[in-house]
Amino acid sequence: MRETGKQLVDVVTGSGVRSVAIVGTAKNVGKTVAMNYLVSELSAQGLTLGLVSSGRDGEAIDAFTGQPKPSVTAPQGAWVVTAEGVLRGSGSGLEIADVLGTQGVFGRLVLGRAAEEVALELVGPRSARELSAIVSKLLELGADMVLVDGALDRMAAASPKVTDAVILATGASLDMDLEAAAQEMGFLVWLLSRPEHPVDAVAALAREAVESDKVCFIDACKDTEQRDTQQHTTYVLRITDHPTVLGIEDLILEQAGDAAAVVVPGAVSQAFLDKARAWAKRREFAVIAGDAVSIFATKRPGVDLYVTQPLKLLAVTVNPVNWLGMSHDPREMVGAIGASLMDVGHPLPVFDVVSGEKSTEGVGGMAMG
Amino acid sequence: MTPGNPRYTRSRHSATGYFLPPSTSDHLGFAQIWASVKPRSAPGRRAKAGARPFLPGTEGALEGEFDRLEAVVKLWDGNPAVFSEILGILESLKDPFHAMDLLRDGQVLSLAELFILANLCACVRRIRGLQAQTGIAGWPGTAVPPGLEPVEDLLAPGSQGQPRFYISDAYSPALAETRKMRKQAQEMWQEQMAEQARAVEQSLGIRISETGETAMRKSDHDLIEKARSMPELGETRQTLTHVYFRLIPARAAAKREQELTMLKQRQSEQEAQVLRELSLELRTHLQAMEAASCALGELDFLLSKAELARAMDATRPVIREEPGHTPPSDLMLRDAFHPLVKDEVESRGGKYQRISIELDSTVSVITGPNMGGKTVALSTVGLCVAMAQWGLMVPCSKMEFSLYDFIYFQPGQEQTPGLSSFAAEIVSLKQPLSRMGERGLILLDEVGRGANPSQGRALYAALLQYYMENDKAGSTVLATTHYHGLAAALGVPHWQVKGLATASLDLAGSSGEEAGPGAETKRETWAESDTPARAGTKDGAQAGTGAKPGRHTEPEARAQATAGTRDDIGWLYRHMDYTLQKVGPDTPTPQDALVVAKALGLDAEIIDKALKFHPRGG
Repeated sequence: MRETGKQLVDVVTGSGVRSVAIVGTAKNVGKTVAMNYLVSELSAQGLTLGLVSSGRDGEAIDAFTGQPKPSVTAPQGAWVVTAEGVLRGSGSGLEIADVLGTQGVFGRLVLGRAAEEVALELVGPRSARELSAIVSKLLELGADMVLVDGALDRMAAASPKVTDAVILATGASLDMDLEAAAQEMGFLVWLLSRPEHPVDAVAALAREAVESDKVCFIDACKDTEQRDTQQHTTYVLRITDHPTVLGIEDLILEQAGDAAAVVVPGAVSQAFLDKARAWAKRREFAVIAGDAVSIFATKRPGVDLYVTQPLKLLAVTVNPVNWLGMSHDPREMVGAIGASLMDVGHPLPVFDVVSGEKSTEGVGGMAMG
Repeated sequence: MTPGNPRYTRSRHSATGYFLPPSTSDHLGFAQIWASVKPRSAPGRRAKAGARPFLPGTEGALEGEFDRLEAVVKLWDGNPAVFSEILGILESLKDPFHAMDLLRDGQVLSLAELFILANLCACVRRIRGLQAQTGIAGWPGTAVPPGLEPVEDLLAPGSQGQPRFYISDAYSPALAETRKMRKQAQEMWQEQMAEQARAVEQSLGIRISETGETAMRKSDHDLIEKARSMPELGETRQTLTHVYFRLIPARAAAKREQELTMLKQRQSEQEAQVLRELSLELRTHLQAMEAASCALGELDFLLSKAELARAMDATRPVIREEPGHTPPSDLMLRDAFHPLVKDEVESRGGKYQRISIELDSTVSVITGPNMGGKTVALSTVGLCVAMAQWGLMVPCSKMEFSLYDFIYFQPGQEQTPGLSSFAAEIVSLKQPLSRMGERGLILLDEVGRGANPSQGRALYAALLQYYMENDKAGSTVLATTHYHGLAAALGVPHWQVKGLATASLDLAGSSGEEAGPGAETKRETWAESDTPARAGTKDGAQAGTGAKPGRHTEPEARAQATAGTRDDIGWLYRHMDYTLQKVGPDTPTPQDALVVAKALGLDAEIIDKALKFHPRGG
């Protein structure tokens, strides 16, 4: 009984993006299953794939050989980046097209094309900058779509600097309480969906500010004669000497003055958000980050939070089975998470690619699928 | 010790010390210049690491090096497009040494190493093609790699495009046959499994995933019972809510699976065999690959030196050689400049003034005003000699000299923990003095400044006289000083920085005169307009503490920031004539300290008081 209607693969192909990060919220959330599902479905549609990982989870090591165990089956013609140590076990089917400088536990990274179907473990670079360069290179070489296996704790793969769009993989392993799991997912999706500042002038200045690599304030200067008309507010950028807010949260906020927003080029910590919240109690004040991946918030911050580069969330995949083998009902879990995303105002299609359950609650154009 | 780092290279025929002691390399700014010679490839970096300074007795080799460098610079000027293409190829060259080491050890190369050798072949082919375009004869022979066509034929059967490596079917007909069989078997197996899945899906009305797995709710008792009774399905696990099944291959498919495993095994054995045979065969071409890698390294290193020479419009020095005789202690520089200081001066919009100097005696003395560029002059002389002997073109319009055994620079203010600046200076001076038998270029910056003036002067004069009397190796000592009459007392050549046109400054006049920069009332101080760090890099002067080549410390910049205003310093820069002129030994040492102090905006009352203590011309 193959389902009719839109599946995860249709969401990806219909989005028009050229690169997708598949990012897991924890171990055993079915990220590899989702990745393999996409690889097989996309290549069945005749697309040439580029496959790379951000770092490596470090769980799929064969206890006997000490070699990484294959996690992905690269179809013939796909471009692949992995480490040469991985190739010793399984890589004679690759046509090597480049050896990259990056050194890791498994040796240098190599780039190759699958001359035949090859099952292998993907090993990628650790830095977002290198990952971004590799994604571009794979596209340049002729990949129609690049899939980035976002290794555990490497949200960087999801950065808009690296990939066009993101699929979030979540599972039952974190929290057996379905409601709590759904709420947590709701928060994560809310965080990763942070938009640009609604005032165009502020958003434009914020983009400029992030380029400066310094913490900046955006001051609002109201025209004194027409104090209450919005359109006469002009905004001015004020650049500080500080490249970060970490450890100097108070010092930064003391300089805020009457600023309408603070733009933080690097990491935004929960500590900074807490302090900014206290600050914002007295006046209108927003925190703007470079992208959502740089925001390390553990809860809704209670202060307006924006980004200069929003990321595009395509879908959520769920794995209802945890590592103990205990399972939620797939339909219930998919439904609960779909509803939670609705609640936070960011409805997304939710799939369990194993059972085929899906929820498209509140997602325009999906319900009919 | 890093090989090839000029800071740590011992001279070849001297057991006593370095050609360029580390501190001298830093003070002259040579370490920074050498670091800017950046080969693009691993072989190029290896060639640079193997470079050594050219010492007396190796004049011929150095001339050969300059011949090669000159040839490349000339070719570059005529064929810029070819050169930018060559640089791009060198950039893409992978490090081939590890692969060659493995071959030498008789090991089997991995796919990555084989690709790297294919990359080496492709780079050699493309570079040879480009060199042929400009006429191979024009290239230094050592920088033309031998062709590697036989190796390339081994590594990429039938392909001459981008370097790739794949164990293609062409290596082994048996492997080709196995691959074909495996592919057929794989397709048949997939078809059989898909058929089986379809049958199960139809009969149970469930979906079977890509991995061949399916899950059923525990509440669906009938379905689960039915599934359990089907030989096509095997129960794998249960959860609280679900029972999981996996598709079991039917007999035909199971047989196919066994066949596949066998073929897979055979394929990897045959592939391993190809790699073994290929590695053995490549070993016979090891010498050619090594020669090609060395030539590419030589080419890359030469190009990076040529790049530097072109960037600073540098000149080939004339090396004087008088075999069998002690070389004359002369050194001539025309329109020389210090590239690091010049960059700094020009980055703040200033105009850099080049210097010319001719040293034809063991000892020569330079005098000049504060902020007059004496230290920069010393560094420029030292840097030009250091660069020449490391085989680099020199930043001047003309240079003539003979090779030195070592260069030594004694900075004016040396800071050593636990020692006063005077004590540190004395300890340091023992280094060049211990090498009296060697030909040294000894650059002394106001020795004795930390001692009381009359004793400091006596000590400085004695040191210089000691060199005049005891040096038999043809050393050159160049000494800056504020001491009046030092050159006259020793009877040595005296060079002087032209300095300020002091007539434009009415020292005795009251404060706020239009002549001096202090007259300007609106002052933007450095401290207000710039962070100290920015002032330190951007507002360095050609002279004075802000322009000590290779060493810019924040405290110096901070001191300047508080000492003077930007307008004052700008005024000083504009009115300072940095030209070195040869003057009579008796020419008085400029007494410009008060002028400079006033120019830097020191309170006029203090200047007036100072004049009373020290009437002009005294």
